[in-house]
Amino acid sequence: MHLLRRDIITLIPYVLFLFLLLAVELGIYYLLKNLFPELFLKNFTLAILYLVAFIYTLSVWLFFYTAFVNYFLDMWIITNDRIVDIRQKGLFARVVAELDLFRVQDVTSEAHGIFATMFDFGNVYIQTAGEQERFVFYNIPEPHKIREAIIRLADEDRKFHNADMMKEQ
Amino acid sequence: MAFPLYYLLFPLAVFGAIYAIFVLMDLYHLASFAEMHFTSFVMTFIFLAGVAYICFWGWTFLAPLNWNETVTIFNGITFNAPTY
Repeated sequence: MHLLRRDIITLIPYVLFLFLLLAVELGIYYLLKNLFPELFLKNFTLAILYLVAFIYTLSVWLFFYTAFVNYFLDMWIITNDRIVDIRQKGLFARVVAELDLFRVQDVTSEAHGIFATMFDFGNVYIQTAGEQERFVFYNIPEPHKIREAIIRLADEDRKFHNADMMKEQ
Repeated sequence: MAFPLYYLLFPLAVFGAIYAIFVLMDLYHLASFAEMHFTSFVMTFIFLAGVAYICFWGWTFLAPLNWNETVTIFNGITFNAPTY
């Protein structure tokens, strides 16, 4: 059984974005301190500024944690019989789909861009014979190896199902 | 219009309640849908430590303010019906 998640390197943009948002907060603080020093003298304006900064910092921190939870709960499980696609879409939506391996017709892997090539992560597209929409594994590590593994497992599963059908006949 | 400064803490309480719901939802998802994992444990610990740290600094800045002070805003604005 393979349990796949997006490559950990795909979290780096979120970390950079977190630092950017915190830097914006610090920048606004120094800007206000220099341009409008009287805001920091009155009790009322000081209370509003501190409350806004407090709420903003907590929100940014929660945004980062939620991004991690989304990353951690998005997963794909490959067994020798089927593929399970589990997608966490925000906090209040979760989609789970399954696909029999013997239905797999076409598997494509791609590593697109300089970072994807350097760190060996990318997408794997799985097309089935049915009308079901194709499965996509987003930004998983070693996509080409995973494609090969899926093709091998699908072939084995297809042989198993064909033998089963022959027995029934 | 005049009101005591501690009225500003009511929106903060509402924010705190919503924040707690979001954090609990995150923790619920992690506990229900993912196996116990070192990575998720470490990230949750870092997150909660960060929340405690931010709350500590928030308290440090907000506590010395005089929350009983009465604030008057929009005092000079009057609305008159137009005369023809």
